[in-house]
Amino acid sequence: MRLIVTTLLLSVLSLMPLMAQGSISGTVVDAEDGKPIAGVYVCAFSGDLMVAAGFTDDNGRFSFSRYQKRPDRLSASFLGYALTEAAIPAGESTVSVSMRKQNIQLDEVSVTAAPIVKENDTTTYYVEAFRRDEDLTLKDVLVKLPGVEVNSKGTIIHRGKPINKFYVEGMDMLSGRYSLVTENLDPSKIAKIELIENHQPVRALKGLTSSDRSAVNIVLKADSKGAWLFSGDAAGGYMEDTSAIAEGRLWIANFGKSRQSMMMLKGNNTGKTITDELQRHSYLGRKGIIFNLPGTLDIDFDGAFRLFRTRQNFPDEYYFDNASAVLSLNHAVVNRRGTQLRFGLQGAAERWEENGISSQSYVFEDGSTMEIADTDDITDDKLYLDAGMEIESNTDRAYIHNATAVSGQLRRHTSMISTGNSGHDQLYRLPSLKVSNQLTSTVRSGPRTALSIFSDTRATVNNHRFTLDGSTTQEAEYTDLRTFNTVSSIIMAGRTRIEAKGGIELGYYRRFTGLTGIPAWMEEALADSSTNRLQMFSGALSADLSARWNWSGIGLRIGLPLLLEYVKVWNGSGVTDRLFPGLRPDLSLSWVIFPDLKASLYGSYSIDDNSSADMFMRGYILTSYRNASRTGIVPRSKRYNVSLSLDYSSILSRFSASVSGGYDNGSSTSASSGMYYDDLTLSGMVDRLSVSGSLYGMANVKKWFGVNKVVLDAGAEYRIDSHSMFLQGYDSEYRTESWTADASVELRPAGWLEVTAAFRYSRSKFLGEDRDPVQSYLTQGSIVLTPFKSFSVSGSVYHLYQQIPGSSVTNTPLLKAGAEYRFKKFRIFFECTNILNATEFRRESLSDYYTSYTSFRMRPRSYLAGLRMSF
Amino acid sequence: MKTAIIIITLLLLIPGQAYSQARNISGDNGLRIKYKYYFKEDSTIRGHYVDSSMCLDINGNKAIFYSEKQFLIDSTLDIAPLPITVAVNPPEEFRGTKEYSRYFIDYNSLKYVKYDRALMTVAKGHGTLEQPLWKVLDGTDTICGYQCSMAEARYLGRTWRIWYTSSIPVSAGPWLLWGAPGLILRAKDSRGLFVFHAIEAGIPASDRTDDLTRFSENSYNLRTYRSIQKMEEVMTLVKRSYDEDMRLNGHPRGPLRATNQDGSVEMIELEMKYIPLIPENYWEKKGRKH
Repeated sequence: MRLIVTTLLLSVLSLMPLMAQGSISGTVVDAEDGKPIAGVYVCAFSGDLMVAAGFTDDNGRFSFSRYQKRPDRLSASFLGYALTEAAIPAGESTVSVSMRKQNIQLDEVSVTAAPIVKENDTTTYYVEAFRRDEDLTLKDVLVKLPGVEVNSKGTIIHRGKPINKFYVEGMDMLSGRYSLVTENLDPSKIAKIELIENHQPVRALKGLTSSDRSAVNIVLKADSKGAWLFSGDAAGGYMEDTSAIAEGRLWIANFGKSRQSMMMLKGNNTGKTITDELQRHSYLGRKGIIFNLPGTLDIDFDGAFRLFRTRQNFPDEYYFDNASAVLSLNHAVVNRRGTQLRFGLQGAAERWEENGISSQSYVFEDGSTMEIADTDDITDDKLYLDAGMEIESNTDRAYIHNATAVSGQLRRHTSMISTGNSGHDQLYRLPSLKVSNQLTSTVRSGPRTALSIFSDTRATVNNHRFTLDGSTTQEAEYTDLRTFNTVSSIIMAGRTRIEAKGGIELGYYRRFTGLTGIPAWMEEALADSSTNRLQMFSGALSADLSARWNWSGIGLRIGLPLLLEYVKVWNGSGVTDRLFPGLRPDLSLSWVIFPDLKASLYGSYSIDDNSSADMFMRGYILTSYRNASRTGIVPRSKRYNVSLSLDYSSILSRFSASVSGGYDNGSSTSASSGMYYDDLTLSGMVDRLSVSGSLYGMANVKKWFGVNKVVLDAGAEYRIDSHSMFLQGYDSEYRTESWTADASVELRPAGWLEVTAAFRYSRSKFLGEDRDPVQSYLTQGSIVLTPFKSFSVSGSVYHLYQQIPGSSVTNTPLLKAGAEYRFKKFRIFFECTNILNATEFRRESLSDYYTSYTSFRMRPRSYLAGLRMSF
Repeated sequence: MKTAIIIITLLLLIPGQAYSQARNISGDNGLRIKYKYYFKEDSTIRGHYVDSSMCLDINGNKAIFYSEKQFLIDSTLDIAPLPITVAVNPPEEFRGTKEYSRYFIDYNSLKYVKYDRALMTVAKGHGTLEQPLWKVLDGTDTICGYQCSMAEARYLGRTWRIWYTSSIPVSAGPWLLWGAPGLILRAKDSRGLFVFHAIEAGIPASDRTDDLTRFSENSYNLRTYRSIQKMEEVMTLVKRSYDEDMRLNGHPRGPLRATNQDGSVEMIELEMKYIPLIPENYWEKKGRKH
């Protein structure tokens, strides 16, 4: 019995350390208000060993009754409070813990995983999956993103349409001038690129009107958000036979959520176009791209004289003799209510030179021929400045955007044009000034209604002078005051959206022209046209009623725009006025069969007594270097077209395909009088009736494999164009058939190799004639080798071969090679352009009654070495 | 004009107020910690598999541990059904992760739900959290900028060493690891088979709880197990290519029986490749309670 008692006692004693030695309980309270905190994790420690743990209940209480060793301290942890430790005094079984609030500063967590993620209308591209070390700018990455295209002007295109907004960190500081970012931002600073489909930038219109265009938002890496980013280049070299070449760039930017700044100073004489970076690609209220002629920064400054300048479709640096400098200062702030204020100052200075030779062989009806050879030697100097301020407020209830800008340009254009045996020196002085204001306002008047006002007012003065051969001078002073205002109302009724728009455009246009030193024959011919001072008032009323139905992915839109324009012209011979009606109904049908497949049908018809500007030309003398003409009868035109397309685009399956076709027909009648200066003398009224039609079909497929490991792109187009013309008393009718096929492949089989190759073949033929077709073969390719992570070499080729009946042209291939060494944030580079030193580049063309070729002088071989850096 | 230029210049010269997305964390806001997860899923391989996107979303005393990569794939497929071209030639991001398991944990009630899948088997199991009793060791380290203390404990069948930070006072951690007085930013088992290493800690841009629940539940062939032990057994079998369905169709558990040409029967032991986070002998020791 004693043994049993002893054994039991010993057993109990041996279990003592594992059993509760009393209990510890307590309360956790907020140190500020003394209120208990529920859910606090309380650990009980004995020395370094945690012996018990648990959470406080709703009253902030905790209790431990089972532990191996008696705890000597407690720790209490709860998010939002500082970790608190409390000692447990010997003999005490109740402990009270007071916790103090403490905030932790944390950043937003990045999302890194799949290279492409689609969520509703937003597709997110994670840049690191697409970026290569050789990539210098955001544009280098954009062109690799499946579904995104960047055209030669730098415009970002998605689903065949230019984007309507470009944001960095959710702010649109540059109002469409986004090349300033895409051409300069180091892609290693970017976390992701978001592509937002069907982007409606006006919040007050959300759910009421949809947009078929997309927007791009650039999201920076955490350490680049709100930080000053810097990148710069400096390079020098020389071009054979001529002079030194250099390029430099300084780009500083800060993209915060509430304040953004960007400054750029850039210059070169290496043939690379930089003034295009100042152009707006698209902006709110305007559809499509604002198309400018090459070298034209503002189309309102074209004024009296349209200047000729060539842009080839191969890289500018092979033919573009320039000295360019660009300055851009931009700043934007946004307040807590989301109102943005933007300032921008853009400046450009550029000299541009061109040497061209062209030849035409005319074959007339009677079989006689004439050869004309032209040469041109052009120098174009330009100084451009634009200062603008914008305010934008975008809420769910209302949208207001007002942009005010002052811009000016000084331009001097000299050229020596030789035609046949004669040559002319031309000099244009083209100062221009413009003040403009654009207001867009939208109010969401109800859940299904909205009212918008748009107002565009601008005053332009172009005071241009043209001098021919140092003697004939024409002065042209254009003063335009124009205001265009519309009010539109949108009403949703069931599945139908009705938009009614009324507009008024008022314009006052004053023209002064003075012509001195003209040849006697021209003076005589123009005697009846004593007009050199014109004033025009134009008032136009427009109405546009459109209705759109949406049902299960099927959308139908019918538009009925009407235009009534009244024009009154004062000139030396009296006053003329006229009313111009216009009607342009259109219909479009689209069907989203499933999210990636869309079918659409579009048709439109328009009949116009052409714009009032044509009437304004009555009596106005248009002078170019070899003709003086004036339009005698206001032309009339009508046009209709119908097109059908089927698009499949799946970013996730990395595949897109499209098939489209259509017919386009336009006819116009006009009559004009003209006097050609030298070779071709022609006078009197010339009636012209032209009808042209095009039947076309095209198809394109594109497939990406892996993360851009292989990209295949192939397309073909077939069209028949027919022209019927009654000109100079002769009937002319012809039809051409043309085929174009192109294919390209991009290969990135390994990290050290990137190869691209593109081939384009085109063929056109006059139908019904026994003539050989015109054919051209274009080959382009590039290769980048990266044998070491920090070193790469690259090469590119461009080659065009053309065949026309009787001749063929093989241009010298345009070759370029380069090497780059990267260390830390620096890159040292070397490049050689035009390695084979091609001196000219030729193009041939064949018309129904003449053949011609054009030849451009090329920049000789050049070498450039320098340093690029980015912080 | 001059005044305007001066104003614009001054505005440009004023340094932009350095914007920081840092936000204050209070008890109401969630946290997301992203871990690199190194694991040997297969005992025959050298080195580790890595999933760099394991996320721990903490909200109050609840947490979800999952692969962000798999979440993004699920969210993509949720919106756009898998096109046939993807099925035939899957782009890289659709090849997924090797870590499909997701844990929904409630620390207050000490309950958790685990979802897992392998081949065509999708499973859900209910489990109970154990309370690890950590022993604080000498040794500190800085992880993600946070000073961390080291601790060790025997937990779920393995000896785990953890690094936790008192600067983020939550008791959570990667996988089912928890119970330290601060957030666990690194953990590894004593055999070096599994390592969790935090690479980022911050605020989630969005709450994924609903989506994660929906993606996990919306599986047409989801099997629910009341016992986490049973689920682990089944999933381990499946992951070792011992398809549960095959077994249910009459294939015996254990070595494969193969008949040779001479008629003799040979027993072929299958190579045990897959290593579960909770070792099998843990369940044996625990008995069949779970």
